[in-house]
Amino acid sequence: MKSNDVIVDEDVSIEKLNNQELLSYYREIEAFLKMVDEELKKTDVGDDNE
Amino acid sequence: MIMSKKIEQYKELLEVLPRTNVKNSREYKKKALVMKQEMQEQREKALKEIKKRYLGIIVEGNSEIELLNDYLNKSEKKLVFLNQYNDSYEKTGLNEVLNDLRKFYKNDLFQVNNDIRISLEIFNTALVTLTEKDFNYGKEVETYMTEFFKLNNKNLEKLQETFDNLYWKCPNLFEYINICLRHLYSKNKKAFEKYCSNQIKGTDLSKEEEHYKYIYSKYLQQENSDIKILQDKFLEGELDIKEYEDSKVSKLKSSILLKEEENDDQINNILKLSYSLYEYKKYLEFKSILEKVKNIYLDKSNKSLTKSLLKKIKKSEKRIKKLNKKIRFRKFLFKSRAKTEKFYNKINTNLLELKDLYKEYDDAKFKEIIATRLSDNSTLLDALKIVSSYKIDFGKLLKEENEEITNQEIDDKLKELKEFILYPNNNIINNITISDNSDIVTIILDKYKLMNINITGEQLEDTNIDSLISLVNKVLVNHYINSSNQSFEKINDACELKKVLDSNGL
Repeated sequence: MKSNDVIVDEDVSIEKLNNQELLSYYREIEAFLKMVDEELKKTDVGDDNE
Repeated sequence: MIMSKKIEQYKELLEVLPRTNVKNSREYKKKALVMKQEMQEQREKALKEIKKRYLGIIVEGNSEIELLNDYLNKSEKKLVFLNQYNDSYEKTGLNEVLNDLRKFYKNDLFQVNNDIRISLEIFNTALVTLTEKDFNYGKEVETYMTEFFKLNNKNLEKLQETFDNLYWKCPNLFEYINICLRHLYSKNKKAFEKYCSNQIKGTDLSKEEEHYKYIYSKYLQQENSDIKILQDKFLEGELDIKEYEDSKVSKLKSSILLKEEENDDQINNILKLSYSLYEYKKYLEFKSILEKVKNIYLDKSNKSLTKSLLKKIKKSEKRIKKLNKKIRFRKFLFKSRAKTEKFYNKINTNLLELKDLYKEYDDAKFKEIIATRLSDNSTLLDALKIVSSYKIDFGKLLKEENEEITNQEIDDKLKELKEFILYPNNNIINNITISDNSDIVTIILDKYKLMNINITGEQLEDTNIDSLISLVNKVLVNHYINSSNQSFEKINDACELKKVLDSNGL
């Protein structure tokens, strides 16, 4: 994390972000969700009903 | 850069959580799903905000532009009836329907019957009601049209059987119906002319045209500079906002300006240049057609072509009328069928002759109009007006250059030509006469040099003119955005916000 990064869920709410920041935040969430889905696919939990 | 601390933490956590066995993998999954759920909620929140921002940036539509467009569409219909080079045959569109019918072999039976139906409707609009009795151009025409009227425009597919029975006896059936309709038009021409003049009662051609151009000019001005229209072009991806920003456009502008001037004067001159470029580009598109028209005009033999043909047509039609009279008389007296058949055969011989005569007449009419209505003082615009008034002949001229051209392409080209003719900012084609051999490129270059604009003959060549038009448009669009309440930054944001909304189907 760099010193000039805006920390959205701590410093400011999304309403306060400018358009480019909002888009960047949205893209970050998208990338995270994609990553979680990929990791979940890779996670072997055996038979869920066990 | 914007960062979500939570996402960072979650990522770190997921990286260190073990997945070495089923038990801890399940724990991993549980935690990951909680994070996913939370971030999905954050995404929804962000999307809602994106939509709000997007709607806050985009500008509302300009309703005046639609009103202007409505006016133009209505006025165009009026201008058809005011056309000074057409008579009611072309004005009512009967020429086009009958031309399609003549080329029946290019369509299916449904389309052919539809053409007959449309032509009967055109007669009806001119207050001429036709019945099967009017179609006495041979036995087969009589039979087919009697069936046609019996069906009263419903279930025309039932004519298939009648057609099958008649076609082998008379392969020219539809051409004869076509000739008969042409004869019926000539017979009722007065009613057609009356109908056409009623459409434009109290309208003055030059005033209507002037007013049309005034509205068209207003329309173009708004269409080119309206910020909503421009914004939509960027939003739809038709234009790329980065190409229109000040840093890029100032270089383009300098490349065509001889010296810096007050911005308003510069823009005004560049706007005029855009008009001339459009006009010259269109002129290049129709240059070869103009050459063909000039050649027709210069051939003095084209001045008197139709008179003798019309005489022959009348004579042949008279003969058919006489033969029909004889047939009716024989039928009335129940005379021998063999001799009646002989009269029918004679009618068919006349119809074959008429078929060629009408074809010849149509070609001759176009040439004669050019040769007699144009003079050395006529402008290029006058010549183009005649060509645009005769769609079928215009199509033939295009086919001389490109045999493969489709009917749709001819229609599109005609639409383009008509738009060009009515373009309110024309200055070249309405001033240069058909006998004038001036170098148009030099005229344009000299004119704009006086306005401090430096363009070259090479830039006006047909392979380069689009680049120059694009350059000029960029300068103008940049000016229109800078003069509006919208900024490049906002339009750029709106484009990116829209992309996110589109990808989420919002």
